[in-house]
Amino acid sequence: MKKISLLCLMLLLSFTLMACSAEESGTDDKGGEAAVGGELQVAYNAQPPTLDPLLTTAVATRDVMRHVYETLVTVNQKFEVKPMLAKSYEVSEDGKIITFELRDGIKFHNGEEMLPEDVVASMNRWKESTTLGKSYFADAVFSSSGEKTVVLEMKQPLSTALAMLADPGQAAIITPKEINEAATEQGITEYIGTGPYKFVEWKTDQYVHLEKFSDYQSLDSESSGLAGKKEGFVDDIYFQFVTDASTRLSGIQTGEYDIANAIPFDNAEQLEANEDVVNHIDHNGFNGLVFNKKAGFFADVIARQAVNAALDEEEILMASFTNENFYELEHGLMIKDQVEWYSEAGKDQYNQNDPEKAKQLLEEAGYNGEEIVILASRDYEDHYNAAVVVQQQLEKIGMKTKLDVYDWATVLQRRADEKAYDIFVTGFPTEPIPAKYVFLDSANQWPGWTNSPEMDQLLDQINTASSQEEAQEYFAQLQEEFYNYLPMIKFGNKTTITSTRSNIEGMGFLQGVTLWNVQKK
Amino acid sequence: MQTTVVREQELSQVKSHIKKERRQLLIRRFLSNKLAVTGSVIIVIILLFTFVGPLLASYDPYELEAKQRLLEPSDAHVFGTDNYGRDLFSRVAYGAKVSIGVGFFVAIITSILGMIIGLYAAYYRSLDNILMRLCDGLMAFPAILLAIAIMAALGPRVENVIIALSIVFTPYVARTVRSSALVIKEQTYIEALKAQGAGATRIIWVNIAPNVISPLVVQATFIFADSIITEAALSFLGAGIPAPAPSWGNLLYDGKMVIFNAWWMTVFPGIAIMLTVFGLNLFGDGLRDLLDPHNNKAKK
Amino acid sequence: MKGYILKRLLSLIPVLFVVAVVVFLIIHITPGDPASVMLGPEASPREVAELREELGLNLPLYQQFTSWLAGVVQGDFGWSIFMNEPVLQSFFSHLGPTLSLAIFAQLLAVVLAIPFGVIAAKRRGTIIDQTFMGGSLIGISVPSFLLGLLLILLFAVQLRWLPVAGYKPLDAGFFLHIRYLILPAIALGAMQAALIARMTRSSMLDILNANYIKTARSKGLKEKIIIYKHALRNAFIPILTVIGQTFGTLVAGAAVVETVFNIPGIGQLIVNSVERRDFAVIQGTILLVAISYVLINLVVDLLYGVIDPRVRLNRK
Repeated sequence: MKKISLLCLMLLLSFTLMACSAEESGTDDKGGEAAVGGELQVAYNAQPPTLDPLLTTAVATRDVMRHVYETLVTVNQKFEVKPMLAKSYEVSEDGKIITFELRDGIKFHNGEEMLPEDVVASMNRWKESTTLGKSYFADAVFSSSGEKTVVLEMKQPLSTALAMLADPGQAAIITPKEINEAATEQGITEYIGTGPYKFVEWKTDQYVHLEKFSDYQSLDSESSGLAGKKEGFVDDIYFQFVTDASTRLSGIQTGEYDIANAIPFDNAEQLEANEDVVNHIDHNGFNGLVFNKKAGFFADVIARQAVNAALDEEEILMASFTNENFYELEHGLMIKDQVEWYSEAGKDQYNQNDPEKAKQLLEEAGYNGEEIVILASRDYEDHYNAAVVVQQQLEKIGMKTKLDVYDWATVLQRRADEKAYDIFVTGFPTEPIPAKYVFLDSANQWPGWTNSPEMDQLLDQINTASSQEEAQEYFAQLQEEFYNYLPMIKFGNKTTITSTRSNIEGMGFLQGVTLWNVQKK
Repeated sequence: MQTTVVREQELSQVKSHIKKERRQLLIRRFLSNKLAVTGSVIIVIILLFTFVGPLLASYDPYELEAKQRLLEPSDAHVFGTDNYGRDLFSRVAYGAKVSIGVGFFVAIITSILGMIIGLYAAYYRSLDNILMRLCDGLMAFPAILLAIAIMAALGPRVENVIIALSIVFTPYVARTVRSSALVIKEQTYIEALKAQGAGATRIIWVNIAPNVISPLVVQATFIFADSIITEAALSFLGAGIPAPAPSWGNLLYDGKMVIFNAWWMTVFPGIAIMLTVFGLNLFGDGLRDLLDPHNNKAKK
Repeated sequence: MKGYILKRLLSLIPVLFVVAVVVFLIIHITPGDPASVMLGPEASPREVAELREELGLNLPLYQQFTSWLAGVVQGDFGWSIFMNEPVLQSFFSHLGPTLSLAIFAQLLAVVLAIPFGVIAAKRRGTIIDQTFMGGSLIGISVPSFLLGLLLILLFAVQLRWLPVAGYKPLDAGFFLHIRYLILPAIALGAMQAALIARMTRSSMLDILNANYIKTARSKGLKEKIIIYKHALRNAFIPILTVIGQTFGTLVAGAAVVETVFNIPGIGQLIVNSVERRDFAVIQGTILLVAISYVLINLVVDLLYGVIDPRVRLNRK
């Protein structure tokens, strides 16, 4: 009896899934029953520096541990806030108090039930150890009230508070209270969450092994992004850390791996020719160059505008991504999917490719042949390739440039030294709210050192706006100001290619892969 | 080893006109040594390539041409093009200059430093202990790991590659020089010179130094070869000569990325490295046979 | 004998001290710090500074050095900030693949090289000998990583007989384990094979000319017995020296080969730790590698004594 009902459930699930994943892969018409079991070998290109998501902004940690941990609220494919561990939430009239009602019967991987105390302890650790927490929630108070309720009280209203709590990077994960209390400055040592997969083992430089969590309580709503229904179909997931691209490439072709991420763009075609392999293109974030606005030539806004006038973004993107399928010329900081934010402001300033105007501006800025140092790392081939083209284009308008190539760790350090460079090339993931873009807020003191009272004020206005429409209006002004002030120049939207074997279905993307709902047929 | 020195020393006592004859003999012996001759022929070819190659190359090794990416070898591009659309022949030719240049400078610097350290360590007991412990310490590191660590510290520049490799290889030279010098130092005529009140500097440089030249030259040849290999390995690991400079190791680094699409990017720089190192090793082997009579006798 | 071993062991101390100082100094003048790598690219400078403080990276250098050295002497090689475990543990968890690779490469080298060397010596001066001598020189001239790339190109990309790269532990099955190790082991072992073969040839030549072998011949002993029983046995000491010396370099050379073939061994551990500036791991691992290196050489030295008692007597 039990078996039959399980089968029915599976069937039902698989149909719903087919419906959802059809949007993703577009070709799914096989239908049939859900494939349960098996193990998923994922070749992942980077090693997580730690498995504690609160500690790092590294994407490897985020992508692996999102299968283990969940948050009170999360985001869907369009970056809209949706409940996850909270059954519902309510924002008070004055916007200062948010009340979360927790879902019933949520179990941690250790078998204990999730209680409001766990949530409060987790949220306190989040607010004390993450950038967002420290910047916006330092004087906020999380408290439990009753058996199923957690209350967040803030000194000022913050319209983007929920979006921040739903942010997938340095996510506000919920873990048992004891674990939070035992956490040191080097993070937690036991990885217990509520997600569809539980942590089994991390063999450094080799793999992280996750195992299906049988007591997982899935939501019933449609799955989208990180929100909605999450079902573990495969029993085991191995994130194999394969930093070498050719190993990932051959492994996906021989079937050693079921999924391989960060496929070099040069090899996309080769994989397309292989009928056992399917390429998935994930639009995620953008690359750009960041100016040193504290010292040197680019402290002058006109100098930055000269560079912006000079750049031919198409050529830069082509060098980085080799094929127009793999990039998108786009000026906006918030992507088109983020309909609540997207704005056309500043578009005329983007991708000017006007060397004459650039030379004029350069003269106006008083350029007298000083050497411009561009900092880039070959650890990210797309950054490096972009830097090479930028260098060429700047030379073309008569600037003297030097390309300093270091390993990533050295770039991280050198870019924090205002005397060491003029420009560095880097990438950013798609963020759920404008404030998350570190180069906007002067208070961050992030390398490049933005210092713009205008942008700061607009950020404040966004955060305290009374409605999303109002916030969007301020954001449009912010983006306009961004293109005046130019703390950095956005090249355009980038993609990453993740390839799967053709028997893998249901993989999703939201700032990296999501592997719940994945079946191995 | 001992026989070498005795021989060598006997010879050095002979008058100069005999020296001339000896030189002629050496040349004849050299020419009859197939290894050495083959080695030097290869080296000459490579050197020619190093200096003439860039002139033959009709493309700028740095010029990017996005539309010409990853072309197979053809008449227009004899070695094909790389993943930036640069002509591979030009890059291999210019790379020869970089790679061989690094090897050459490292061989020279290590010879000089190794000779100084080795000679003084052999002469002064007190110095010996300190210097040799230092050398032992440095030699206890696997060469490539030490080079990686030094490069990480110094930063990626051509000069730093030369410095790093010199630090790595000097102890080996110093050891060789020291052991040769120690034998000479025990000779009675050195003792006699000392007794006559000759200065230490004079004894070291005039009487001992000439006798360590042969083993030093042989060792320098091998270090030349090893430096080319290690530089390539360093650049291949991304810790050597900074891109976009076309050292052979950098070419292999680029080639690894597209090993599925472009065999030529691995094969041509690979052959260049192999040939050069092979030539140097042959030459070094031949030279050793030539300068080390004991070894030579064993062969006959 | 015991006194001799003890003396040799004591003489290692200054060597290892130099290693410790050098490695520590190099690492601490290296730009880049673990705090900023760990926190990720979007971390704020304030957070980086806080973490640096917590990790003790702001202490004076000599203080960091002495506390590290004090730990090392007591067998504590430090704590990996990235792996959140003792360095010794990281070291041992990465040792397996490296040892597997090195041993397999060494076996391949010995099994191939000794017969080749013996044959070359027997046929001295013939075409076989010369071809072989040239071949071994090529073997010495091809850096392992380059040979690895060429092997990948031929056997993995073109012929598709073997995997391009990767590693399967022994518990995944012996044959799978070996399958993944074949190419890296050839790449790594080729130079060893060439060196061993050359040494085998030359020491066989010396011995074949020795009087007692001539006597044996004149007595009419079979050539095979002469070569494999009498000559090879005596030629074995210099051969063993080369094997011993090269085993040390083999372990070190594995670092680059591991990177080419993406094998999670000691070399990868060091290269990755340099990338993420995990100071404790770099320091500890390099020191441990150096220790094993000098110990292997010591053991090889002592083994001569076992095989050839004359060595022991001479040294006394």
